Amino acid sequence: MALKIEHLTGGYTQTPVIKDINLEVHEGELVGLIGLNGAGKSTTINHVIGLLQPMQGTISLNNIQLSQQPAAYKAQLAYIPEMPVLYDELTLKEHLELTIKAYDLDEKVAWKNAMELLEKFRLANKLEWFPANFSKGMRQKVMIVCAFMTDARLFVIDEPFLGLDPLAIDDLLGIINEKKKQGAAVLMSTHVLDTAEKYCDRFALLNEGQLKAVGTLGDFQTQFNAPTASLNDIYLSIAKGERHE
Amino acid sequence: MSELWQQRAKTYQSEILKYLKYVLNDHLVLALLFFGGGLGLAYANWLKTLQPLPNYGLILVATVSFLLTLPGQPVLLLKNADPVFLMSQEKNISAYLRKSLRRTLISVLIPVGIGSLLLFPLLALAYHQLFLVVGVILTVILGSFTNVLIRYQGYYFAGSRWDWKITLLIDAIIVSLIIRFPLIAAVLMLGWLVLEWQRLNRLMEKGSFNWQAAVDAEQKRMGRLYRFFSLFTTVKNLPVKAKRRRYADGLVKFLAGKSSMFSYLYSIMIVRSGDLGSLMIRLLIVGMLIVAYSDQEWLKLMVGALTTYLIVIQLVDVYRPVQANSMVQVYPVDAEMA
Repeated sequence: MALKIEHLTGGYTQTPVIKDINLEVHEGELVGLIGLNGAGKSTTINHVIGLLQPMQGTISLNNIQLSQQPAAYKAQLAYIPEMPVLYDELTLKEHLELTIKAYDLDEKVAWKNAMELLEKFRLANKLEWFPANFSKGMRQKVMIVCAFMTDARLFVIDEPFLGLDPLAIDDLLGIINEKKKQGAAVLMSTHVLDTAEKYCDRFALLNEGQLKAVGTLGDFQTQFNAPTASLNDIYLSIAKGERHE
Repeated sequence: MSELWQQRAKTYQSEILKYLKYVLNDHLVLALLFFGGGLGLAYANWLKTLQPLPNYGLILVATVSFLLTLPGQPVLLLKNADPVFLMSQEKNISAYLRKSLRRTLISVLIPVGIGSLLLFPLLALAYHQLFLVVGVILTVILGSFTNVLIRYQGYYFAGSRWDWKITLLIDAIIVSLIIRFPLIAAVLMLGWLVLEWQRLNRLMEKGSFNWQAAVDAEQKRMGRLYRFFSLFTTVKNLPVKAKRRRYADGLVKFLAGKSSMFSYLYSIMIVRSGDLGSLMIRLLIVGMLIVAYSDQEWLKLMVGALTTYLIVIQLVDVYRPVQANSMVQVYPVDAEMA
């Protein structure tokens, strides 16, 4: 069991945004966190990476509880935010060096991994540049390289598909696959449903702060009695149903 | 992480020095010298009238002492990207925070030291005995340290023992004891300091660091600093915040009239921008006053022309960003109108 979320209720202020979330992400698995804008995807993610404190419930990663051993928990995790945040005064190379220091990586191995990723994303010739001035897609790629050069046990990715070019999306999915094979768990939030449908092993459907369903597409098709429906159809029917209530 | 702190502290230091050069320009230093001298003279004269010390003297001493325990914003030097890049280093964040704490404690000694120095003659008048005066000053210094420690506790999810109102109350009660028992106040304050120090240490060892709260606090502090510097020179990374200014909605309507999109946009920008509108109003008032109270025609003419010119020059700052926004080129409006 990599990531285990039990009865998580939380939010930014006193009013909870997400209510009683129960979710597990196993090793070698990519779980898609699906939901509309404001459904609670980012809030859930902020709890998982420890930027927020749960009002109720526990979160643990490989049996290390976030509330009990926050430092050990966070050392196992890498995060790619939706909006890239970079240091204005660091070059791309210095960002990578900082990541190596932050995760205590072996320099040789880490640089080898990083160079492979940089080649893939066509950034290898920009090591001396300041990524803060890059376009959104390129900054996103820098965040991806910094996260995936680590040997984290859990990768948390917040909406990676917006702003990336098709080639980069394909490369990203390839890298995620690789990490899965090495036994890492991946939690990814998105509302690009057709891509999610193809690549995620399981899905967690969030709506208005509540987890509506967790499972594979096959599970959903049986559960909602719609054997040919796509993820898109199923999610839309749930979301629209809620709106009419 | 200590290395990172050192690096950031160095950059921060040189940045502050760069701006201080503009702040402490010759004119200001000269003005401050005269101002400080005058104030010192007035203070000295006032002290002479206080012999013997009237009843309110001790209350005044206690109030000033209490205020002196309050300065000391933590200098964290954290950046927006830190929660993402440094999260995995949370086990070492305490090493970073300890460096930051040391720096904050040292820098808090400057205002507290100057304040105590100024207070010293008053204290001598009030207590007559040196060891009592030392007790008061110790209480103030320890109190300011305690407040700093409590602020650092707030950067952990578990937070401080009490909310800030109760903390202030305890601080006030202990400081008010100096009126009768300065030494007891100092001892109590020391006890409190030790308690809060222990709590902070426990948090640093086991607590969960609230990255977002710490980064937000640091951004706010830097924002205040930059805004202060911007009174003297242009600051390049000062975020300009629009203010809603609901009370000025009527003014927007008046300025915009019924005319084009541009006058609507410009008037909203002038009214709600960080400082543009207030700058124009200040210019206008100064100009009006001079024109109103002068009886020399040529001076009125000159000042009137200059004021108008300066206000119009300010409008360039409104015009440029609108032109730079590509939507303006796309909208089906006549760009000539801009």
